Amino acid sequence: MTAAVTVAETPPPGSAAVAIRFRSGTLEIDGVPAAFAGLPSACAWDERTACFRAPASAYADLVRSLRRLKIAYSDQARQYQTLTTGAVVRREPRPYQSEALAAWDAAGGRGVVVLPTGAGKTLVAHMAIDLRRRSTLVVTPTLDLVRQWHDGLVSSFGVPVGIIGGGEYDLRPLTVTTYDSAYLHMENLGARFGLLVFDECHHLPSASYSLSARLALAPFRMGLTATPERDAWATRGFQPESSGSADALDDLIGPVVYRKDIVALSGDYLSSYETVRVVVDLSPAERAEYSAERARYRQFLDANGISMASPHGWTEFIIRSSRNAEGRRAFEAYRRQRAIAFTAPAKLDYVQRLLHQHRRDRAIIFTQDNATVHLVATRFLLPAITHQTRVSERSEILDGLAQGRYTAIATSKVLNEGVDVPEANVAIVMSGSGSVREHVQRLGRVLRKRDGKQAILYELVAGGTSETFTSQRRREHIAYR
Amino acid sequence: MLTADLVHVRRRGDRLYVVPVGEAEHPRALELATAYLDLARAHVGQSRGDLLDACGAVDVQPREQRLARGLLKLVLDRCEFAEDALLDPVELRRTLFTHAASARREATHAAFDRAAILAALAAERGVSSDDLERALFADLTDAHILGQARLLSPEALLAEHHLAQHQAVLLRALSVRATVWSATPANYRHLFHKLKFLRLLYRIELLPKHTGYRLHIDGPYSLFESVTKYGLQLALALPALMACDRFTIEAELRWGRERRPLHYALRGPLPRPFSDGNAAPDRETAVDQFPDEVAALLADLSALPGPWRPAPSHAILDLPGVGQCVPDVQFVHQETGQTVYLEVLGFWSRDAVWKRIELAHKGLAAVVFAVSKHLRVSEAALDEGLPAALYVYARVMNAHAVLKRVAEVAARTSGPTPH
Repeated sequence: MTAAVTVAETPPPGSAAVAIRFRSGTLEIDGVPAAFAGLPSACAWDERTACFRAPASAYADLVRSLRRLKIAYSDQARQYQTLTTGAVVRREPRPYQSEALAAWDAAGGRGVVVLPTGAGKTLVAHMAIDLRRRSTLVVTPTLDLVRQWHDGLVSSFGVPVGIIGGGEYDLRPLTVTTYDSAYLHMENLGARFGLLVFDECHHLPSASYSLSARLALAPFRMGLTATPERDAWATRGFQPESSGSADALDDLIGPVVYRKDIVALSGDYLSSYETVRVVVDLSPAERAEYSAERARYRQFLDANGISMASPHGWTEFIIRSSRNAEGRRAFEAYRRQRAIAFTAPAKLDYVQRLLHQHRRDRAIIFTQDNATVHLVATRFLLPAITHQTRVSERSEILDGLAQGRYTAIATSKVLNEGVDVPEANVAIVMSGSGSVREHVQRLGRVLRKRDGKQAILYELVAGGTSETFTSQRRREHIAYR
Repeated sequence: MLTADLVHVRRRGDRLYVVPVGEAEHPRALELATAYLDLARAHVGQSRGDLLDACGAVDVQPREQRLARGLLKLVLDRCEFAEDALLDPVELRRTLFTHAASARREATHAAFDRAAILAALAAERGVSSDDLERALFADLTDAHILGQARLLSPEALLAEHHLAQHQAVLLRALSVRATVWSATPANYRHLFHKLKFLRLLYRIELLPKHTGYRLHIDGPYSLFESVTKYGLQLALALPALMACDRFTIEAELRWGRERRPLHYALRGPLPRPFSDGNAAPDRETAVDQFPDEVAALLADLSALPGPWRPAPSHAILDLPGVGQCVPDVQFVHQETGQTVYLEVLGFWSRDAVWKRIELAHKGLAAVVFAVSKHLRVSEAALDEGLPAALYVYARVMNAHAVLKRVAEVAARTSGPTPH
């Protein structure tokens, strides 16, 4: 590869050829003597390779510094392109979207845009790509958001868009990936993109994810979030290593350049909806088996003093149940009683009724586990989306649901967050956790505003089982009152 | 490779120790290894799910759980699974589910005719309904078919497990400090080749009395922050370190969910954990002898009179940022003490020769590189003014010719700086 950029005004100190190279997420600066003190503070002399080295994220500072010092250099690091074409479809932005883009641009193309869910953060990023026209990597938390970004970029820019993650590795000037894949591959990809877009960027400040931002040389960076303060950590029960996530975002992406809260944007964003709770009964045989298995499981908990209400209850159960045969039997009992409640024949019969009733609607069936997803998919011949479904097939399935080729799909937890299917108007929760957040997210999947749309969420509960309690817990949200 | 949760470790203070399978547990470990290997062998042509079910039925005592899961992981790593490609599952699902959606839309009652939809598509594809259903999710991991398994003997699997436990600890390492001793240059060459391949960086230091080397190994970004990002590469480098005659390894870890700072140490050669058959086929073995042609040259050189005393070399000549050269023979001048080195590249590769020429151009001094003429490199490729030389030979190296190059290089050298 030939050098991408050369600025030559005066010779560098003590050398005729300063070269910047990208090496595994760092920049090697060759040809500058060890004693030279004029480079940015991010550059350090590396005795291992007898050259200066900097994190790749210092690229913009380094280039500015070399130019300021009038040091000629050969840029062999930058491998990203200037896009030859921009957006082929431009949606009319709302005023706040234009303001957000202008604020980001004024900040030198680095910074975080904070907008509430549903306000159209994606469009701001599309406008930024169109403005800067650099190879762009979009980083998202889930494969379903990868699919959604992929489809959105294809329709806005009219070019093939690459995907890295979920078993795919297709690198293109516009590419979408997950935070996990970015961590794995940024050592190799870090020079290939001039603009990084971090969707749901409150995920970024964790120890490993933040490293992927430091291993990339992209001078332009945009973060999108509704909650830059990383409240998700608290719910997961552990703390990020960085002391302050807002500070970390500032360092990794740039400062918050634009913020509007939901009150400022209040309007009629959501469809009207109703929620229906359906309690189904187990057959006498199922009831007997459920009770026996549940008693065995509960007995083990009691005997070992394990409280599932405590934050460590589940971990303790896993550890203790693996220690002896009685424990393993208790674990089997736990699984069996859950399976009976999750897939009670009466529940499946009710799903069949609902599928018929809503055969001209667009329904999403949510389950707690993948086994139930495949059971439903096989029994009712419905497309299924699990963590094993490749992005291209997810696209095809969600597109099929939007277009009406499919009237219903089944999924577990992977569609809980962020995925946008405005046409979906029926949610059927066959099983789930007690998480209020998950339940609200599932409801949110069918609430995207469409003219005349009436959304409905069915929650199927096996009566007289632990699901009754789980259901009560997850309905503790104003949306269900 | 094992994952960190499959390693049997013990923590004492701020140190972490790997607990190897002891003599007492060895017979039972061998039984488990045999069981999983036999099941894998018997399941060629069957699904991953079936193999896992069968392995799950092996009776494992609670205290053996981690060992059993580790052995099973290593067996599965050696199995190659693939989709059964009779019908394309993705296309099949798209077609079947589209048909089903159409049928449901037109249905007049809830119990739409599932069997009829399946039968219609099965007839179209020329398969039975059962085959169609089997193919529907044939791309799911558990449905993948075991094509072939590169299986070891049970003893070799236990040896692999032994190594894999130490490798899995290094997955959580920030860096490795290693000390290595080798009687011959080949192990050093192999080690540096491996480190370069894994894109790791190192600092190198000669031990007092020139008996071995100390290496501090980490990655490019480690200059700025201690990260576990290079743990996988460090784990993969372990066999090359262990291939040296003797070694010690020390690593700083971030262990567990809490990323607790712990210290880990290993020294070797490791005691052979089992009495026989302990060498896994793909273990990187130590090279403890000179190649025949180098040994023959040393014998010829020793018989010649003159001021240069030849001896096997233990030096590593390192040019940071450029590369290193690991010579085979060193010549010490009896009167001046000046040293010149010989590296025998033989039939190795033209690329290796060009790399040595680059080293010489960038400052490597007092070295003669012996190259077979089959590599089609001229001695003139190295400028005469440089304190290094190429010696191109036809069939075998000539001791007189080597000594002539050594004297020429010595005359042009102010003195090498070996590590």
